[in-house]
Amino acid sequence: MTRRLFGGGGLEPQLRADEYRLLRDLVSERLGLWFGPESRGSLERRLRDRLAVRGVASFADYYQLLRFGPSAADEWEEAAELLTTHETYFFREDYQLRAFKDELLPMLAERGKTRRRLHVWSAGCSTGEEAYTIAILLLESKLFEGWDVRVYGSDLSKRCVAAARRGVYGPTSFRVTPDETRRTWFVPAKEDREAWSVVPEARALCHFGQMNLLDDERTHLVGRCDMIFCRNVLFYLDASARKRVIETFYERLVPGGVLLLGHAESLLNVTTAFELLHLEEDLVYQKPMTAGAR
Amino acid sequence: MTDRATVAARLAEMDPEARRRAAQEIPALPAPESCDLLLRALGDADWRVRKEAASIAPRVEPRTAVVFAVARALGERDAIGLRNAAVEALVLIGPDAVPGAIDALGRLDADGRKLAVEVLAGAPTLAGIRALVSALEDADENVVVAAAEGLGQAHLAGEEARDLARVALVSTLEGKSLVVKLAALQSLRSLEVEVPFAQLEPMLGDPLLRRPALAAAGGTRVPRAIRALAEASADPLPSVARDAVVALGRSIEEAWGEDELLEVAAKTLRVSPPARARLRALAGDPSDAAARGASILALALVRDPDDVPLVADALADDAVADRAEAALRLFGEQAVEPLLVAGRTAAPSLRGATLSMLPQLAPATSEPLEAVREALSDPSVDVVAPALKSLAIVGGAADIVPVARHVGSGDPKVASSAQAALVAIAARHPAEARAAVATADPRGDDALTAALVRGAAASAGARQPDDASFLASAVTHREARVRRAAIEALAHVGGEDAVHAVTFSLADEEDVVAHAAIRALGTLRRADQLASLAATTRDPIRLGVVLRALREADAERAFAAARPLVRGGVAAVAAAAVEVVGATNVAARVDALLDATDHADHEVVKLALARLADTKDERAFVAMTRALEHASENVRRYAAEVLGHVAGQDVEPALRARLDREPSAEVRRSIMAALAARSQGEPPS
Repeated sequence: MTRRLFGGGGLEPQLRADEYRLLRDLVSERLGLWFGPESRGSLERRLRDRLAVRGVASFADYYQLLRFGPSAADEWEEAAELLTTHETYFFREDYQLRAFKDELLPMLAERGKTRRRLHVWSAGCSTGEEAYTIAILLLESKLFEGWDVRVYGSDLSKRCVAAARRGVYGPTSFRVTPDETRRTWFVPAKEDREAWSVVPEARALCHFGQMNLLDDERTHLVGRCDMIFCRNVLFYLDASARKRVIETFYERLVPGGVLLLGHAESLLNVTTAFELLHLEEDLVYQKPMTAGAR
Repeated sequence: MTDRATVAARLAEMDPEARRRAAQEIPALPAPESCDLLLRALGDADWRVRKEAASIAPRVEPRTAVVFAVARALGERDAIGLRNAAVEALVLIGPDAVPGAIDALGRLDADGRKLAVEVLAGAPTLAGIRALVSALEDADENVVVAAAEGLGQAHLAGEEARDLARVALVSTLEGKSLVVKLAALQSLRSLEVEVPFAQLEPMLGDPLLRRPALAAAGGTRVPRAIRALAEASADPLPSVARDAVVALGRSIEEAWGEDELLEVAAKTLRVSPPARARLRALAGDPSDAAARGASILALALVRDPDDVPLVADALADDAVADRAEAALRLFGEQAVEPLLVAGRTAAPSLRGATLSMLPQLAPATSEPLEAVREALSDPSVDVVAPALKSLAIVGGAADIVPVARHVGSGDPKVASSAQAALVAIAARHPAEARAAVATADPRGDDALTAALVRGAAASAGARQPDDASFLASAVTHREARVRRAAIEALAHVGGEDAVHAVTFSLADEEDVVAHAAIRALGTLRRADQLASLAATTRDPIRLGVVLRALREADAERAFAAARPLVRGGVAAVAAAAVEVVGATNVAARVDALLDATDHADHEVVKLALARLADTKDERAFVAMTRALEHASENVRRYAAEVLGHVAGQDVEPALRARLDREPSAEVRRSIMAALAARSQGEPPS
């Protein structure tokens, strides 16, 4: 049961239940992000300041603005920033990265030795830590020297993508990064004594772009990928958005291409189009070798 | 073209991917071949093929034959994959599968009956819940456990079903089987049934039943039970203590505001250092929101000032921030000093959150206000904006100038917070505010501050003769935000000069200014002018603004202008018209809103349904149940949700009738949630 016992300070606009349903559906339709019945307070908190900035008196007016307003496109950018979660760090979920490094990369190196091309997509890359982690692991493996190697990073948030391009990170991004790895692949940032900057060699592999994963036009810009990382993103999407995003991934992967999800995510009840690939430390999804491009 | 032979041949291919794709073709085949091939695919050696077959089962016809054929597969003892896939297919088929599962329950072996029970739990209907209650008497314990677990879904089948399940499960607690009791406790928890504490109390001594019994006691308002939960928070086993804290948190929420009940928990926790240590550990763990939120509330009952920083930290956690705020309010003034200390060293976002709390906890003239004032100089916008919001509540005349420095900030959040704060303070201290901007030039850099102050003072009843001329000059300022502020101020000043200046601003090149002018005409009650604008405005966004302004000026004329537009082709106009119509008290508004439920744009339909729900009119209820049949899944889902919260005896049968026919799993889920909300007596919202 959803309760709202405590309320806010009283002076600021409150998000009524009917407003919440409309706004929640609109956010889901536009961004694919799902807010359940327990998330009314969260949506209210995240968007409340936007009402003051836009000079609207209620969430109903804000809904109208997002739906029909002349500045709706700009406002969606702001709303997306506030509604997405940006929490991430380098070398997150190490067991999966070990599987990537020790099992998947040798497999892809063997499979692609004629074409000598490896494209990896970090979908929902936030501020870029995952994309650079992938680039570092690719470089450390030394399996792809002389290949056409690219790591694409995409995120819904414009600010996150800008931060990813900057490639400068503070201590919290390195919470599980071994010191030696940091010294090898990062240099002290010029502008901040506590921050580190990604070395040019890793930076050169990474290409970042702003992208709504529900936007076919944008996702086609990524091209065909050998591997897609989409970790801790599906969790925030509603069922239909999840289905659409996974269909996009299927379509963007080459036959035999691999999809890696977060440890708490699966394709159960989403699609049966992928095969399960059992690795020593992980289970990943693979587009069947016999599946052609659709 | 799909034919049976082709699909059958492809289902026999070696490649599982080819077989999976063949399964997708089955619904296009005629009966009875489709049914045969469905069963073959459900029994495929590859899980992907079985899963695909289950997912397409709801589209295979004729449904009754499919249901009974698939239900027969529940008895295939040696084909585990087929049996599991059959369960999944039947659950996806939904209420239509229930007769097949009930039939299977009466004739299969224990394993088959357990699977039939799983189907009944997965597609809950009243008839299915009755069958599950009967299955509690099954000779096989596994079937009984599955039935007890399944009854935890009874709320999704409506009030009567929930009641049947409640009675049956509570009586099961008197039985001897431990596993059945465990399942029953879990289900009673899912149903949010309050089990009499006298029945739970004996279980607290049983190591296996202690945790589920504590969880089941959560939400209780019985003093003895609350004491038991508080005591169990000190349990040496972390998992038991955690569950006790979560349960205690639910009870604290239920008893919020009832000091005597809360004191029962507080007293117990105060004398138990291990319980408080556990609460502190959980309050600091951001990975467990349920336990964190509950422990924060419990710590607030104890009111040890040393715990304030821990509670304050939680202000930055979206999942528990509302509980942290409530807890700090309970600490009251006691929390101020620790909050100030915490605020000095915290990250900007947390520092901002603590600043937001200070005015609610401390008198306006004390040291905390100084801390808020100092925060105006902070380099982070995450600190400055909350400080400005706090000053909007408690700021005095001395704050006018420091706040005014931020009204032109390049950061929109800071600028809007500063403007709101300046307006609030100026309305409280009009003379001092006017003095602060006495020398302002209406065309100069300080015109924004002056316009805001003059508008605020006028709204507080402190008008000056030169207000209109100053502001009329400011509406020609080079900056749009000054022009907008001047127009909004003129709306409060009133008079013919104000109307004249505002009217010319309708031609402003910036939408934001022109829209402010329209709204100002509403505040100035210029109904004729707005009605005329409504008749001539073509731009849909602008027309929406006009209609809303006209509503403020004259609700009946707004209704007359908006009424013909609710079915208009442009969604933006229709949405605004629906909103205007819905906000009036004109008797004919229900007819107008009913018309809007036929609009081609789904968002307009949903808006109309939302407004209809407010009218409490019988025809509104009919329209909402009709919307359950709408072609758009989105509208059907929305209608179900609204119906979950409106009063009326006929709502449940309408929802249930649609549930039996609804093809979309998403909508079915919403209907079941609506039925559950009704059966749990959630208040209309």
